[in-house]
Amino acid sequence: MKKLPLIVFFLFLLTSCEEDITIDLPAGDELLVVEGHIEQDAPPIVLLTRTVPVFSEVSAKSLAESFVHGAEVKVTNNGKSYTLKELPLGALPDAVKQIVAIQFGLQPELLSGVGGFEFYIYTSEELRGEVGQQYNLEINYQRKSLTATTTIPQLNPLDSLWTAPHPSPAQDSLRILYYRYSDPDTLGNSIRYFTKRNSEPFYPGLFGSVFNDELINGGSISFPLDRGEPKGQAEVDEDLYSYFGKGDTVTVRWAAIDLPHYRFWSSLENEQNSNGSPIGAPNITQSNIKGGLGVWGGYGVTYHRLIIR
Amino acid sequence: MSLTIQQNQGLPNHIYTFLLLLGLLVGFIPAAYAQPAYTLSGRVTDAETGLPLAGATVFLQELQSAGAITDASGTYSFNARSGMYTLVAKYIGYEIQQEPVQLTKSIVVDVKLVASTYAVREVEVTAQRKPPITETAVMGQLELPLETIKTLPVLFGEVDILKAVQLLPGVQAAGEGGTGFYVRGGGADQNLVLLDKAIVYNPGHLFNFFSVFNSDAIDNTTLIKGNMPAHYGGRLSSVLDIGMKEGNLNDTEVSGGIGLISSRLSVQGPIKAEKSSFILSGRRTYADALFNPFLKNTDQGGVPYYFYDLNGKIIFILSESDKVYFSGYYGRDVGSLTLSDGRFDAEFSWGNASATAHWEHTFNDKLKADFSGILTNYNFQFDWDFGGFKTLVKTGVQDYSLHLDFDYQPSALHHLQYGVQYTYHTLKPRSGTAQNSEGDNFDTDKLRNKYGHETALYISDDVYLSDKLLFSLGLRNSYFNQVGPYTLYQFNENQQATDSTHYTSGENVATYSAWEPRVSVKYELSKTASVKAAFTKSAQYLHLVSNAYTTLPLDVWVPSSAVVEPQRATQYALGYFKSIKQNQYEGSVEIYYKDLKNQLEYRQGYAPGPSNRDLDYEFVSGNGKSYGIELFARKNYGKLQGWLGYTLSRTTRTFPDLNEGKMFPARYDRRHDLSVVGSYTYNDRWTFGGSFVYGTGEATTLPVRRYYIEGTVNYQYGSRNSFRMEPTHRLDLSATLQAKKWRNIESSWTFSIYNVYGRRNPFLYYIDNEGEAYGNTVKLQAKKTSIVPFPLPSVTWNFTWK
Repeated sequence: MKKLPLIVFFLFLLTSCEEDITIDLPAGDELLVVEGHIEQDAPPIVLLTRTVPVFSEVSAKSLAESFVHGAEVKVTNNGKSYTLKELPLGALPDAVKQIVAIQFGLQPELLSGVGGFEFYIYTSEELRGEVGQQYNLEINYQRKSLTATTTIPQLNPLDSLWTAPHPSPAQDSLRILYYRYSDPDTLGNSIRYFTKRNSEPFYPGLFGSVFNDELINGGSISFPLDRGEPKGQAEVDEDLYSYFGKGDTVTVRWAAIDLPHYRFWSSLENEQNSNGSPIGAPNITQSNIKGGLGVWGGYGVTYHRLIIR
Repeated sequence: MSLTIQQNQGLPNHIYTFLLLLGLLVGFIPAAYAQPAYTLSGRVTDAETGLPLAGATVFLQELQSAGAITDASGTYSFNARSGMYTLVAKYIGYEIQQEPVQLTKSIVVDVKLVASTYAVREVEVTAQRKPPITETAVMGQLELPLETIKTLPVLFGEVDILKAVQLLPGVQAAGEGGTGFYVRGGGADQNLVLLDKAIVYNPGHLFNFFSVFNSDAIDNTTLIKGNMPAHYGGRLSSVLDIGMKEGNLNDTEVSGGIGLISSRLSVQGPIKAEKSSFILSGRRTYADALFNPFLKNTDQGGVPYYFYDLNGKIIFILSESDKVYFSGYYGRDVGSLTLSDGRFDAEFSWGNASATAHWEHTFNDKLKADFSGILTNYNFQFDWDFGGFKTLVKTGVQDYSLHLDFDYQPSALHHLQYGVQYTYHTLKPRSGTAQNSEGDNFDTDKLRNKYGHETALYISDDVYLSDKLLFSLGLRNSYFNQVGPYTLYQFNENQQATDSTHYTSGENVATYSAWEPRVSVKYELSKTASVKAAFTKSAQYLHLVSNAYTTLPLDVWVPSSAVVEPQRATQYALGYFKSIKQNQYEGSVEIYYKDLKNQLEYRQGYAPGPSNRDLDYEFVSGNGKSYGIELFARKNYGKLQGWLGYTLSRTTRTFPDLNEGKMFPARYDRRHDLSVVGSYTYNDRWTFGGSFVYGTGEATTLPVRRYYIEGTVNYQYGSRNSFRMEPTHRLDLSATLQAKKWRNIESSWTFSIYNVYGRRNPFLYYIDNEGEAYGNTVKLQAKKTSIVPFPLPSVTWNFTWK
């Protein structure tokens, strides 16, 4: 769906061309970026980095330098405040590593430091996320102060998963995954989903990983669920996109999220999908962080499994 | 956003005040300045076709200061003292006609002009000899004779009025290759585009590559940049008034053309000789057939896409003093597509339709009235089926209007125009419905049609205070009333509706009104030079906000409502006008300053998508400013004709909720804008044309820093529109060959090359990225997208059969 306009507007494709150019961009002011999550039965995990000029060097060294060390990071829940400690990933128990890998879409091998840089996070052993709770984040670093609020919403599990055949009979090894979901009566329920095929990592939906009940509030819906894929691919294999294979064991990570959290992903995906499209609209990711960029988002997660026969 | 609603400002009260003023104006001025003189009036027509000749010069040989230029309906009127005179009527391409007249009372003299034997080209029949720009009081008004437009080189060989308009000073093209335009720092929605009095809500086909105006069906085009006379209203920036051609009253004629992407055919002729006529024109593209071979191997497999236009007009001359016409337009873009092996199947279409019924009645030589009923409609529809999940999205506008306009010339010193205009608007938001194969239904049930009454009363008087001083005093009172059914929502900080107020059908929701003075003054420094000054206020009650790089067919028109206030503008202009060698050359210098209030943009972070929230709530409003100087020089007659237009201007916006409240350049802020247009008639057979344009690069917002989310690149943006793309410039050339006449067929070939030196004008800049941060594979590259980045040749064959 997201790619549709490019095809509709064929004349643009026929008569337009793209070329590489060199432009000078002003350096802008450095902002802090939060990528932080809390889900039920897991500790809060906060990744704190800084923005760098667009065309500054891409290297393991510059990546390592983008981590912000020594910030004061606090999460408050029910009047109780927890200070998050900064730790390298290698120093964490395996269970926490696992959560980080899932929450941040990291390749598992990065966890062992193969990337050539040390990955730092802020976390707390004392706090575990609970469904229905609100968590306030506060970060102080040098003269910068960042705040954000999120909730872990009530769980909104899927009703069921099933598959249907590929529209072309020749492609009988490929299946379309369908889900059925019943939305609670309150408006504003939102979902982010990830899929996992066999032993692969979980990947969020590529062009759109979030849904919102604005148009279906209180109703129930069945719809195809596109297979999640790694982001940043130079080109997506259009023949295989969205489909699962016969024999796959599919796990769906179905996470209830609150509205500001939904808006972050929705606007981010919108920005990424329309970047460079002549008929797209320029869009800027809507952060829920006051004083910085990024997201502080709670996940209320349920897992669903289907073996495709 | 502050919300000011003028409560219960009753319409009757309003009209009363207005009529009072009107009475004062009409009653007072003639008494003070009336002089004994008789009126000489009449109509100048083509002896062969019976059609009116607009722009013909009529004067008294013995009294050169007494004379007039015919208006669009071919009528002229002027005053002179009693005496014996010779009346002279002149028009380019016609024999001069002289006639003795005895002026002892006001008389009517109709003149039929015979075409010069050497002027056989069809275009010259519709060509207008314009009144010199020094003579009218209106500022910033430019007429574009179709003759000129037809010699301009064009994209794909499609003659396009909107693209010719873009070449005038003060007017900017909205994006390379497109037909959209911005006038003096105003948005694309601030142009009033009229086709036989009907508003055209979306004047573009195929994402605005082509305009909906078929050049075969169009007679004359007038553009007014901001200082519009009082009988125009509802838009802030400009009026583009296009008249449909009337059929030949004496002979049947077939004309048409075959071009690279479309063909045209027109038939016209008398229904009853000299009394009534018809014209029917059609145009259809065959892009589908043309492009399919290129797309055979793509997923799409072809382009089932086309557009067409139909224009028709019939006129009845009922008597000396009554003329009636009915005209209509219907055009659509139609297409479909199938993707993913048939899993996705869609059909879409959009287009305008309009119908105008118009009755012109002449009471006497002083008073004329026009009565029009107008229907106009725009709608967009997208229907798709995704694996059994059927969705329908639509949007549109529908208007019913009545206009009653009077034209009254009580004496040589006054020319009054007054009238009343009423429109009932229905605006359909971008709404959707969907259902799946199991019968579950979903829809945007909170998005409902919006309704509004728009009324305007106007009066204007051209007061000739002396031979040298002309005052044009105009006043328009516009009034907009949003009525129910309507639901007004209140939202919490999470943007969720918390409360609502419901208005029942017909119930008053919000009322706005505006006094819109339109004043201009002309002072003649000499016979050939004048200075003019103008002051204009205007209000706009319908809005279209686009946040894409180009206007799209699914953009939505939104009325002023309890949430959205009307846009308002005040413009000041001053100009010096000069005409040389009997208007063979003309030139002008104009400066303007424009102050804009309640301009609309999407709020920070608005993302288009399926929504159950009215667009009204997605806007933020702010103010704008635009000022500049426009230079214009034109050579009107001779083998070499053309013009040069240059604009130096600055346009800014200030929105409390955008760019941290700081002023930013508008997207259409263009420091320099230059157009050079020329045509050269080499001999009877060959005519050459060319145009060159240059414009300062568009203001755009670009990222300045980057960061990673889930390992992929995201951007931190610089301040709004703070970056400039490189300048745009382009040369287009054309050559027209008049073919030898064959039987009754006259024909010509037009060859043109668009973008002769293959300039890659920027349409869009962006920073492309791919790769993954933690695997260290990120790549970033700045890219420029250009449209038609190569010389594009085309050929068109046009013919006329009589």
